[in-house]
Amino acid sequence: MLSLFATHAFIIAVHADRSVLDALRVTSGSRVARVASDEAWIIGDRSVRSQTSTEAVGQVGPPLSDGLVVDQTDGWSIWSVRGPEVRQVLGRLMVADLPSGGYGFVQGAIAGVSGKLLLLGDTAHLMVPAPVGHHLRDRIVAVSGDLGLEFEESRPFA
Amino acid sequence: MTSFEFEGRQIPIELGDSIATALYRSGVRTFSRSFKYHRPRGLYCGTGDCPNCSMTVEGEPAVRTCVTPATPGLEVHRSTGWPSADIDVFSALWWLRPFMPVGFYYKSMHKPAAVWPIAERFIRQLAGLGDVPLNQAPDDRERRYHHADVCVIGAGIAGLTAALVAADRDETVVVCDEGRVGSKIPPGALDSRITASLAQVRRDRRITLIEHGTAFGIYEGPLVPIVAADGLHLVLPKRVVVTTGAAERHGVFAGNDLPGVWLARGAAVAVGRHGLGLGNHAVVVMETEYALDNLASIQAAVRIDAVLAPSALAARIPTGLRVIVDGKVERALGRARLRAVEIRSPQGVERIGCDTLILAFGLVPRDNLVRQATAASVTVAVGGDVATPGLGLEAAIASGRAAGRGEPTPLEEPTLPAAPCAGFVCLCEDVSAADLDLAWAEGYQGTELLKRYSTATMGPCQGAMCHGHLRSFVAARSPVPILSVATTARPPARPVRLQDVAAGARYPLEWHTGLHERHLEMGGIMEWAGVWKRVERYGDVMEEYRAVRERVSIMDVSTLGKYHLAGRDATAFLERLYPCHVANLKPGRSRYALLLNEAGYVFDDGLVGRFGAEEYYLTFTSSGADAMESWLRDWAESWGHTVRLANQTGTLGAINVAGPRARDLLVKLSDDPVDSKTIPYGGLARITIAGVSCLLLRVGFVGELSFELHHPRLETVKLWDALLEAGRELGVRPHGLEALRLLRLEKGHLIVGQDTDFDSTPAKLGLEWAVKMEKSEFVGRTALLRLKDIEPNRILRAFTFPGNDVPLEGAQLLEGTDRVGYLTSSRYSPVLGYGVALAWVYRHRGTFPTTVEAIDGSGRTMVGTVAEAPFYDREGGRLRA
Repeated sequence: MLSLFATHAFIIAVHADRSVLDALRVTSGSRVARVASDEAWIIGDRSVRSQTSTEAVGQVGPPLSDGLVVDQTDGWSIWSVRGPEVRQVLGRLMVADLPSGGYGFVQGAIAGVSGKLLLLGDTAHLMVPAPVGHHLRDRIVAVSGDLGLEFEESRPFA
Repeated sequence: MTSFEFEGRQIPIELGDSIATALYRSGVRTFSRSFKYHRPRGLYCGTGDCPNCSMTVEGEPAVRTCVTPATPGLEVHRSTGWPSADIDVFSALWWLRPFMPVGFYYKSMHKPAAVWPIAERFIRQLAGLGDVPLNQAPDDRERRYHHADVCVIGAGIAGLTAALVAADRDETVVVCDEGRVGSKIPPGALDSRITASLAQVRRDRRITLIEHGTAFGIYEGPLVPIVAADGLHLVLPKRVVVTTGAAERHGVFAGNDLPGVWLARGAAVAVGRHGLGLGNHAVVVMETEYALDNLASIQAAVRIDAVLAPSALAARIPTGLRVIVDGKVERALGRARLRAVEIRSPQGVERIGCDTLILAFGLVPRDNLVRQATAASVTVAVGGDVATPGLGLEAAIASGRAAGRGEPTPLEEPTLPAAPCAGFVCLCEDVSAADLDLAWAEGYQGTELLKRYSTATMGPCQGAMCHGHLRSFVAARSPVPILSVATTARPPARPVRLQDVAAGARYPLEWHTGLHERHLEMGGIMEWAGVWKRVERYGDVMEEYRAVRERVSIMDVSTLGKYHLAGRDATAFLERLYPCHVANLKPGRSRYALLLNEAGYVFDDGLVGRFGAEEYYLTFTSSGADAMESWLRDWAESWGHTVRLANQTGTLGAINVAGPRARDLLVKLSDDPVDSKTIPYGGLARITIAGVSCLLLRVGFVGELSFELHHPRLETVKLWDALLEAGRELGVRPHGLEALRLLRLEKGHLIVGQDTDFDSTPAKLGLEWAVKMEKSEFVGRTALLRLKDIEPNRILRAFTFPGNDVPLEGAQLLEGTDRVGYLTSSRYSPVLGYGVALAWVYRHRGTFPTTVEAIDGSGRTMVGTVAEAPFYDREGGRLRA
């Protein structure tokens, strides 16, 4: 069984020096994905969105420092695929190698669009810019026909 | 009974038929006409290795019909030959061959020079493999990636065994075969083993089997592209196993291409699998032990008059058959069909009448992919016949096991055939032994040179038939080993269509703003704007236009590039990037800015807004939105500036509220002050409108009081609806791009990319005011300094055209009969009562023309006069209201 659903998560981009990001701590349940040496994403459940933002600003420093915290939640579509055959679906959509352990964060082309993958065991959160979210959904459906994909209600990030 | 159409006839199909076997059963013997001499060619290899059975199937030329399944309703015809492939008048070319030896088109028809273009057209029409369809192929097939551990190419017994062994080691496997598995194998022990292994493979969830999937290359990575019916499969395996098997060796002697001459395995498959009759009298050449198995099945279908075998094999030929020990085929005789063969043996020369000649000279590994892999530095395991041609069944299975475990098998240097003396070496390109002789005599001595000069090995089969013969030809003439080396193998190993390679590429991809659905609901007519779909109009453009000029209107401008920039070097960075001043910008203010490249050319424009000391908001045009990220990051990196850059293009929606009543509309929805004192022209503020927190920029592209509201994308529909609702009594209506084009043109505002060219300097565009040369440094400044003293040869000017019509965009401008420029933008302006335009004009007789005659695509001519922009609200009172 393979299911496809939209995930409602927040994405807070934290731009700061490497050392600041290395020490970044977030509320439990949220995840930190390193996008670049000077940029990290905090991805988590929307109920702790503003709290996390405040926490991040607190760690990055006062407003006039070098840090920048930007809420990018609205800029990304997250389509999630869950099931034992999730890696097969990902393989069909992505050229990049998948994390070997089943958990990890990968950046690269997803269905031909620059995107990001957060893989959490048998759940894959696929992220592409919101203006092409419709395309990602269509492509997931197109490549999963033989695997019995089922649509499910959208759900909060977990 | 099912059937397909062949040149106006219905050809019945039997179970398991390929197009070629069905045609043969219905009496077709001439399958194609050859490339150069229009020689009749019949079924020969039967395994997809030679070009003889190529036909046009469903409009697609050069389809190998012997490996293409016959399906009902297909339209098949032979690609060449006039009036038909059976009776082809151009077969007379064979008798003209002394006049067109190898490379003749390099030597003749070049003097006088005018002859060649005509001759070339004629040659191209005569030669060839059929016509490439010119209509666009509709193709929605997919592109899929497979991240398997192992990719096995070729699903014969060795390949299937290798796949099963790898799967047993818990590896994931993709195994492909270019045909239906087992279809090239005559019935027998091998066939049964393949059927058994295939069933096992199908049951194994770790193995993905792609039948009718042609692997046409092995690239670095490794990457194995496979063309299949459902699209392009890109396999990215950890390791590759090649088990492509071997093809029957091509026989080269005079008359070797006559219909009726078969390669042994093809004949055995035709008889054993498809029940085809081969003729009445056959001669068999049996030079290899491997093919002895096939003899029995062939014997069942045709009377064998003689078997030619070396003395070592002679004793193993079944009794009752006449064996000519050490006999060699001297030549095959016949015109459109084989009639007889001449045999030379120790007893002398003998002519035997026959209509079928079956050749078993041995096996040639299908090693094109292996050799490609070597060239791409990809290590592959090989198994089965491709490693050691002519393995027995058990040995092939053992070899497949080893390959499945990844054990390296040393690739045997293939044995070369006897050097060709007469007959066709390359069937694809009609290159004969005589042609090679001539080329050799002319100095093309070596495989690589001969190949390029004669085009042998360069046809659709990529040397599958003739590569060994070419090498032995050279080896027999020169003792220098390097001259007879194998030529480089390159993808594609099998013919592929560009359409196959492009499978899954769906460009351009549509980018949608958060209001896309809303626009469609409101009847918006969409158009492309870069990667985006935007509204061209909702209804009457003039109504939309008037709403902006007279009342209030809103527009979705979410496609603008939007960036948040901060960091300790932010101000220094922007000051050095932009040609305008940045450091003196007050927080809460924004400024129009050009973007110049190092050559001083304008490539984008937008706004720079300042939030605080080192915090900025930047906007760019829609088309430049994403490219700007690399541009900004590259410069920050190379200058060593610490800046933080957040691309918010997709995160923020943006709605422009424009018109004399724009402020009235905002006041209805916001408690925050929006008066011109708090937010003057160029102002930047954070306010809440209809409960949505917005970043407000006061802008002026359309020349009216206007506010851009940048807000979270997910709230864009809410804000849009609120603006329309609250604005109802003010007469609000949305406008699209078409209204915008007129609005901005009345203000003389240019659009980068439409009105500018790649080499437009600010001076040429009349935008010198936006460039502060007094700044010590900015990108493009050095170039502009050097250009300063060079008078521009052309400039962008505004023009007006009297009357209620205007030339179309792209119209050419004339002064007398001289071309002096062209229009980039033009519209009729209802408020002004005349046409307005922007145009490039060239320096003409020392000056830029001020009165021009414009002639557009519709053939109309109109006289235009240079004018000063803006045409509308010259003092800018409305803008600054």
